[in-house]
Amino acid sequence: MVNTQWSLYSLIIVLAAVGSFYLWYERHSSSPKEVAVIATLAALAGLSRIPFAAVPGLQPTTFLVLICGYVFGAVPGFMVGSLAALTSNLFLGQGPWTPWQMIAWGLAGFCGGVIGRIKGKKSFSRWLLVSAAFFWGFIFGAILNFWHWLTFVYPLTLSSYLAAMLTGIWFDAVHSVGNALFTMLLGEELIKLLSRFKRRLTVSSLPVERLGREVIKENEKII
Amino acid sequence: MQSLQTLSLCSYLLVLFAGAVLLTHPLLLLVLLTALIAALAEAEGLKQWRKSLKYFLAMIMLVMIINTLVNRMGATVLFLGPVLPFWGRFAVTLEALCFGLVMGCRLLIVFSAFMLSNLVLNPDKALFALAGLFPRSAMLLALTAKTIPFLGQQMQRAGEIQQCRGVNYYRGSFLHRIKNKLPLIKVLFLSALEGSFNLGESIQARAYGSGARSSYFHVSFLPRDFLVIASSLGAAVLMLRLFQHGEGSYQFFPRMGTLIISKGQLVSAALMFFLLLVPVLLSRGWKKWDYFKWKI
Repeated sequence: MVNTQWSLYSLIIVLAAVGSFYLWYERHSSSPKEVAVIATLAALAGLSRIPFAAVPGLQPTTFLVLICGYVFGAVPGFMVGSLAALTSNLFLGQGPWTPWQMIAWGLAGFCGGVIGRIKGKKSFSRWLLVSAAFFWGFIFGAILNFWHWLTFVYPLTLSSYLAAMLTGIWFDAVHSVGNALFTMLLGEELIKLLSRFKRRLTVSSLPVERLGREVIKENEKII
Repeated sequence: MQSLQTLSLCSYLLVLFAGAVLLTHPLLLLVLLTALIAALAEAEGLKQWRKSLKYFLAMIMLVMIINTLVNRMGATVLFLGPVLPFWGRFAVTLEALCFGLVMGCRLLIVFSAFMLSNLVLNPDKALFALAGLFPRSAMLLALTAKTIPFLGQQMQRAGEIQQCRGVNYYRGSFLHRIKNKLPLIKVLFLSALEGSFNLGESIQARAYGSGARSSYFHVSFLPRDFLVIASSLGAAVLMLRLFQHGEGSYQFFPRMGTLIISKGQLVSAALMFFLLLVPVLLSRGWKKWDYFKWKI
């Protein structure tokens, strides 16, 4: 008898993972401007699938999501990636690939956030981001092939997984090279642009009684 | 079918999808596929489905080829090839071929279920249902979905302006064309992010986050919704029963087993078929019989 449980379990795990991120976001208070910026970034990432659609595999979405995570942090990065997948599929067509695209792009954004946290915003490392973008092309393909392999291929062995991966290796390679090129050509400029918008979003409040003292201290620092 | 509530439609679609994931028995998959085709015909999507069939068939062929190549558990050898390096002896077996065909059928059911969902699920109603569970995420989703067409228009406009300035997106080498498109991303980013601040202020002015969400739709469950939910639940119970008793799967390896294991399996398949046809029958009755429409 063929085991079908793994396919179901994997789907449940992926849906639970995506759901827990969304639940975390539900409990996390965010300002209307933050909401609007995340929605706009997700729309941009989703829309960027269209202009390069003529070349299968070439899409700047992964690179944009990675950069968003790098600047805004891991959870906003995940939200941008997963929303980009979900909303762009509203126009391109939903399918069994949607939850896997949501988790793959979400994790790319999360990974960008982790890189940003480790490196710090001031020590921007172009090559680290370029290599991360390159590898995410292949990781994205590996994640998307995973459910296909679990559900429709038997036996579940390494060689059968590699055979399933080989059918799409060309698209994954184009995706990876495209990501690396986009990051090399546009990465630094987009990070500067997004960082500027992030600073504009950051609002710190001071109690009125401390205001006088803080202003004096700030002035002293400037002098 | 489109007049059903999101919850009832989702329960029906989820059962069809779960059936394709859980069951591997050819007879039960045929039951699912037939019910799905009837539902697609009722939702006026059969023409679209037939058009997409050639793309589906390409993927089904791919699934068949992978399974035939990697599976060596079958006993009836149809073709014995040479010994390949890193691979071993290349052999095609009847069992692997049939297994690939059945897996292709499962893939077709999954694709068709999603096609049906695209046809019958109203995105506005689905978003409203989601807002009950995840209000903030639903708001984010609605904003993103609204922004994509707007940004698409902006990108087209920016592209036209660049073309007026002499930038050509359709001539030159591939790399040259890609390079020409890159400034568009920068322009779009800048204008979209500036716009997002206005959007944020606008939703704040409309009292976002100041209290519980108000609702635009009034959801009222009608008898037809309860009937669809009940029939879907019934089909799900039958599927689980078949799955638990090992009657949901078919023995492919090393030799193919008998198609019908027990009488109970046949009865369950027939009952499942009827339960999966309930939304289709209700929709037909809704269209053809005014009294029935009034009653449900």
